[in-house]
Amino acid sequence: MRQLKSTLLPRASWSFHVQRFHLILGSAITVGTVLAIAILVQAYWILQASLITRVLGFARVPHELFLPRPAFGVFLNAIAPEFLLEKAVISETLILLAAIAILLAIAVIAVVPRLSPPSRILAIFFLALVLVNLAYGILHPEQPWPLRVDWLTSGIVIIPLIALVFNVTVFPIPGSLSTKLVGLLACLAFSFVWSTLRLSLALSSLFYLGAFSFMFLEYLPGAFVDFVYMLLFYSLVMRRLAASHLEEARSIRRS
Amino acid sequence: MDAAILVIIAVIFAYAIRHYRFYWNRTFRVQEDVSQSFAGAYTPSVSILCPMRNEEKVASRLLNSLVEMDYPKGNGRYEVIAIDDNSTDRTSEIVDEYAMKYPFVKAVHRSGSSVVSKPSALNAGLTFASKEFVLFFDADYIPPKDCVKRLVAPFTDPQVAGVMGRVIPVNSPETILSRILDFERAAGYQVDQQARHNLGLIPQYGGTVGGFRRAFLASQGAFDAYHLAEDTDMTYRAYLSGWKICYVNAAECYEEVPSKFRQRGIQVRRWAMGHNYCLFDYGLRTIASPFLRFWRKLDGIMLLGVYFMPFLTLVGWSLGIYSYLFEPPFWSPLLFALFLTLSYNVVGNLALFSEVGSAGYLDRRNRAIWLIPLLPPIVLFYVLVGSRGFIEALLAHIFVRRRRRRETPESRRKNQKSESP
Repeated sequence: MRQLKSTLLPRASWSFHVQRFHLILGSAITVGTVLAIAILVQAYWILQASLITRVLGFARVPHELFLPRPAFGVFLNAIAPEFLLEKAVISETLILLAAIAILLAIAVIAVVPRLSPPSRILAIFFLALVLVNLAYGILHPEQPWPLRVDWLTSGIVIIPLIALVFNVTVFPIPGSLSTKLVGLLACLAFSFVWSTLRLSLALSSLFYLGAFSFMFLEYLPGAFVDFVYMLLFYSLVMRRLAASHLEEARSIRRS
Repeated sequence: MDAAILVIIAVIFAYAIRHYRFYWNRTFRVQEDVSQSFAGAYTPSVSILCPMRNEEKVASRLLNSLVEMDYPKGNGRYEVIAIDDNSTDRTSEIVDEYAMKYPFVKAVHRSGSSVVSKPSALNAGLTFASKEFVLFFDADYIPPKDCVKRLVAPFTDPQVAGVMGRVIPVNSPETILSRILDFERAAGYQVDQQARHNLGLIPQYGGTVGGFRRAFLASQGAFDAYHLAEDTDMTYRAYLSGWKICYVNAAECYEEVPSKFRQRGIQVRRWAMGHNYCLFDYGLRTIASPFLRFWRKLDGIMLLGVYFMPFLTLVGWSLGIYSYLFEPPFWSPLLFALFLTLSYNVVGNLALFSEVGSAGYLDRRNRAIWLIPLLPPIVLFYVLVGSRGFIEALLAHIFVRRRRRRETPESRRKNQKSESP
C-alpha cells in the first residue's frame, strides 16, 4: 500500500497498487469468456434448453423442443432452440380481468400514504411495466407460433459482462485471488441458473397466463435483476476483500 | 427515434466512463494533498460564518465545536459569525449567549426579511466578516478540532479561490436511507471529489465545510439570494474568472443526513433545481471560457449536467417504451436493459457502483459494502425526483428568473434590507 505523509487521517490520502497479475488474469478470463461464448453459444443454448424442458415437464407445460444441430464458431449465425407451446389454457378475457385486478392491487399499494416514496415508486415502476406489456399484448396479438425465444437477452450477454465488470472493478483491488475467482465463478454459475429459471418461468407463464406475461417476465425486469445480482456478488466479494485487508492492517499495527 | 435513443445511450455511457476514470484515479494513483504539509503552520486570519434558522437543537453543538477549534484565536485571527436568520425558536438566545461569553464570536440577527434564504443570510454575515478568508459551516455540522487549519492550508496557493472539505454522516445507523446516503457521500467525496482534484478538473464547493478568499468574494459581489445552489454558482464563478477550487479530503466534518425519504426528496429536488439553474447560466460560458482547458471544460459541462441526467434517463425510458410498443426493433429489449442498468451509474449523487465499493474499501468499512445492491431501486426515486426538479427549474428559468434579472440592483437591494448586528 502506498501511504503518504498524513498520519492523522491516512484514509484521506492512501491509495493502492494495482494488482497487475490479477488484472492480467482477469483480462484473460474476460477474453476467454467472450471467445467461449462466441464459439460455444449454440452448445450453451442447447444445454440450457435441455434443462428448461425438464423444468417445463415438472411444471406440466405441454411443449415440444426443436434443437439445432450442434455447431462451433457461429455466434452471429447461431440457431436458437425453439419451443412449440400450446395456446394458453385460460381465456383472454380471464387474463385481462386478472391483469386488471393486479393493476388495481398495485395502484392501491402505490397510493397507500404510509408507504415510503421508494416503495411507492417501485410499485409504480412495476405497474408501468405491466401496463406496457399489456399494451404490447393488445397491440400485437399475433404472437409467432411456435415461439422462437430471444436467447440473447436471457443470459448470453450477461456472461461476458459479468467477467468484464469483475475484471475492471474487483481484480485490480488488493486481496486474495481465490476470493476474486470464487466470486466470479459463483456469479457466473448463478447467472446460468437464474437465466434458466427465468426462461422456464417465462415459458410456463406463456402457457398459463398468455403472451403479455411472457414479455413482462422475459424482457423488462430481467435485465434489472441481472444487474442487481451482479451487484450482490460484487458487494460480497468486495466485503470479503475489505475485511481481510482490515484484518491485515490490524495485525501490522499490533506487531 | 432510434438515433435519439442511441444519442441518449451514448451520453449515459460517457458519464459511466467518467465515473470509472474517477474510480481508477482515486483507488490506484498517488493522491494530491501537498497543501496539507502546511496545515497548522499556515494560520491566516479567518472568519467563520454559520447561518442558522430555527436550529435550537444543534446550534450549541456547532458553536461549541467552533469555539474549541484548534486554531490560534489571538490577535483577531479567528472570528465566528453566527447568523440568526429569522428564527422563531431559541436560536437567537443561544447565539447571543455565545457572543457574550466569547469575544471572537459575533451574533448577527435577521428579522422580518423579505427574502429568507441561506444565500441572503450569508450575504448579511459577510458584511461583518473582516478576515482574509471566510469559511462556512451549516448548523447541523460538527467540525473536528483540526478542520479549520486543514481547510485554510490550500490558500497558500494564490490561485485558489475556495476550498471544500469532506462531509461524513454521523447518523448513518438511523435508517436504511441514512446508510445509503452515507455511501453516497463516501463515493462522492472520498472518490469523486478527490479524483477531480487529483486530475486538475473541477472539484465542487459544496456550500458548507469550505469557504473562500475574501478578495474573491469581494470581486464577485454577493451570493445570489434567490439561488438554490449558491455553492455550484460560486464554483463556476471561480473557474470562469480564472481561479480554482481545492478539495481537502483530510478536512473531515460530520453532518446529519436525512433519515426519511420525504426529506431526501425535497433536498434532491432543491439541488436539482439549483444545479440546473447553473446549467442554464454557465453551460455556454463554460464551453467558451478562455481560462479552462479542454478536459476541465468537458468535466465542467458534465458536472453541470449531473441533475439533467435523471430527466434524460426518463426521456430515454419513454422513447424505449414507445419503440417497444409501436416499432419494435429486435434490440429494443436490450435498450431497456441499457437504460435500467447504465442509468444507475450516473443519476444524481449515485456514482458508479465501483466508486461506492472503492470508497468503502478505502475507508475500511467492510460491513457497509453489503448494502450496495440496495442502491438500484433508489435510482427510480432519484429519476422521478430529479426529473421533476429539472422541469421546475426550466419553467422557473423561463418565467421567473429572467424577469427577476431585469430588476435593478436597487430594487433587489431594497428586498434584502432589515439585517441588524
